[in-house]
Amino acid sequence: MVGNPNTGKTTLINALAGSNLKVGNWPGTTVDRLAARLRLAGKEIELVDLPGTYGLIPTTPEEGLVARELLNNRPQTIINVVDAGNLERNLHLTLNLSEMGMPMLVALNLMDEAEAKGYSLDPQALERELGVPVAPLVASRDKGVTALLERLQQGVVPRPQVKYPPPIEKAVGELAQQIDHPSRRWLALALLSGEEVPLQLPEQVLQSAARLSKSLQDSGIDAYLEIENARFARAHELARAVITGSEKRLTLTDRIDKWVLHPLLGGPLFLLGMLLAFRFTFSFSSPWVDFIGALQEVLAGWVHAAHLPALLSSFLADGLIGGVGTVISFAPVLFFLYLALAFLETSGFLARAAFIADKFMLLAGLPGRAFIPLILGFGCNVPAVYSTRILNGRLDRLRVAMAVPFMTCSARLVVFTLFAAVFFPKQATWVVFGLYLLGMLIGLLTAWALGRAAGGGSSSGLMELPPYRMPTLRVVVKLAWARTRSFLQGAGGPILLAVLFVWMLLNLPPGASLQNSYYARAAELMQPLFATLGIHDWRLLGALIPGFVAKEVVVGTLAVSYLGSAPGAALGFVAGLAQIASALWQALLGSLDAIPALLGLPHMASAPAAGGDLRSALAGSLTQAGALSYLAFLLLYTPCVATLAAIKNEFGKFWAAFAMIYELLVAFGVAWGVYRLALLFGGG
Amino acid sequence: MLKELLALLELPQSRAQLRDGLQVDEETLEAMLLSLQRKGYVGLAYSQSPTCGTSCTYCSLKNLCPAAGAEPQESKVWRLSKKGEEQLKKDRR
Repeated sequence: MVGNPNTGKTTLINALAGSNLKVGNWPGTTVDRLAARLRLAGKEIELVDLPGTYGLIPTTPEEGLVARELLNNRPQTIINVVDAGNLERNLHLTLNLSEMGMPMLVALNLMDEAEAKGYSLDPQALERELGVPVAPLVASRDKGVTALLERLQQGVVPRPQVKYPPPIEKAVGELAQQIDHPSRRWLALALLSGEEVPLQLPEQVLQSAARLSKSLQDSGIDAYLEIENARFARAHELARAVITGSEKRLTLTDRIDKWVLHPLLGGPLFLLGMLLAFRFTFSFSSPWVDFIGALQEVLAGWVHAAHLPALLSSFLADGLIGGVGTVISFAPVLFFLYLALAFLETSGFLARAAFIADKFMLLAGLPGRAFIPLILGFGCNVPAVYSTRILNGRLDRLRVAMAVPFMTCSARLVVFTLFAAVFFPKQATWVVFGLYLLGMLIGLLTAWALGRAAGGGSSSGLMELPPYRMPTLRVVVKLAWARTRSFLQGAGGPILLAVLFVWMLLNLPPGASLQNSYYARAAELMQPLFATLGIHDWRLLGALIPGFVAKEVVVGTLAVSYLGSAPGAALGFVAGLAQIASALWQALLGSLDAIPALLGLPHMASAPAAGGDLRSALAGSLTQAGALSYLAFLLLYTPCVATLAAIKNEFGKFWAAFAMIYELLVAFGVAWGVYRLALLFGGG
Repeated sequence: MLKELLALLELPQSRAQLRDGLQVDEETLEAMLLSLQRKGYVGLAYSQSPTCGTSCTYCSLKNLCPAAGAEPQESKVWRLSKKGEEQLKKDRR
């Protein structure tokens, strides 16, 4: 008895043998040998259950045992036990057996399971095709077992089943002639495939096999692939002839995937999903950003009311509260963005999004799995650079690493949100979304251009997609909170240092006005160059300098340089508390308002209004065209220090320097293009 | 059939898409992939990649990423090997 694992062979031999079953071991192994002696029509026969196997070429000790036993202790008849519910896969072994030149019959077991899977089978069709007896049965219920016993002695050698390409047939014919064994055809096929067979064959046969294999190979024929290809094709054909009806039962995941992974709709649905994630982020974070902004104003007011020395008061109100506080006020943006991403991730949608993005990567000539580091880059560029290690080949890794810094990390999102709220209050979501797309486009173009130098792409192959699940609120909130906390903790140190450094530059030399500070002088040096981009204000240019340390510092620096120049108003304790309570109430109401805003299809939600004072201060410093060019420059310019350090670690100093200079040039060029384009459309 | 599978694997495909493309069931698809893997036409991506080396704790894609676990039973990513790519080119010629 030969069959795939889990086809019910043991159950069948139990049903056939009853109390005559003997359990032992195969010689020299610990593999169970089940056998039974039966009397059938006056003759004594021995039934032997061979270990379950998918093929006759040994890849495991059990499989080796099956081929060895069949070739060396030729049975009178092979009972091929086939799982009716997994017919096609099982028939692959049947076809192998049919080439052994031995009488056989097929026990088509597990007919009940096939029915439960929605299949209708025609055993007679299989009998006709194979030319051997086929007995349908359910061994576990003794159904069909007697009929099998009755047909046991009717086993015949199957007629040839698999038609191989003519050059293979010719080689098989030539080799088989030299083999003195009833299984000569199977042996010839195995030898031509380059397999080792568990049988002692004359040296001359092995030499002929090697010669014929080489000759096939020289004429561009891969014998193994052709032989296996033909067997799978024949198994497929047989299964189609035997399965007369199948009721395909689609799971919910299958049904949703029909749309989500659709070749045409998949891409737009992926983009829509990401757009909705941004919309959710802005709708729900906006009221809480306002609340934190109000809290910050109250704290600054209390500091001013404390009548501290002017420098200390400025340090606390403008440096600490105005700088770091403004950055922290964007925690709600990050939290809601991470909440949306956690929902997409745990529901199984992000896997599909990555899958769809994978195809875009290939279109751009990138290795398929490049989407992993690139999508990681939306969170933080640093781990994204390290994750390029999942790609093979230095060139592929380098191409993707050079593209990663163009992906909008969450630090840049903070700045985008602020500017979008100030300059494009009605189209904030579209602007931010557009910047994400622009970054992706430039990144892909960079990788593509680098790839052109070396040529060739990679392939991705098959990806497992998890089933869709409804995420639990607890898990989603926990994930979002952990990521927000991680971002804030990671960003806190550098932000504090950078902002305090900038505050110092702003207040040095002592007694100098803001416009005469060291910081202003350094920023003014850049003015002539950036005037071509529509950016004239030295405070905006100055913020780009610490932005090189960490992009999230840009907003804090802007707050210090803009708000530091306008002294804040003092605020009484009770008045401050009343202001906080009022802001909290507004935030709660705003959250309730966000629900219909999210569901309302025609309008996109507005971005959160960053700290009120900074917002008004910024509004007068740029035109819309200038704001767009500033955002484009900020998106694309030199990666932050940590990302450069990661590139240096992975690819060396040269590539870190290349990334810095190349991205600076790209940023300037694209920002100039964006500015000119915006002017054309009246953004001046 | 195996050649069709090789051709399909050139682009990223889900198992469902491969099953639909070849009109085979899951078990047969697995058998075909194993046949290709046995002679080195395809390989599991993770077996060729060192781990990423960064923390996966907060990574949205850790369940997908072949580098996220040593035994990615739930997330097998197969890829054409060099041999598979060469065979595909040969078939196209």
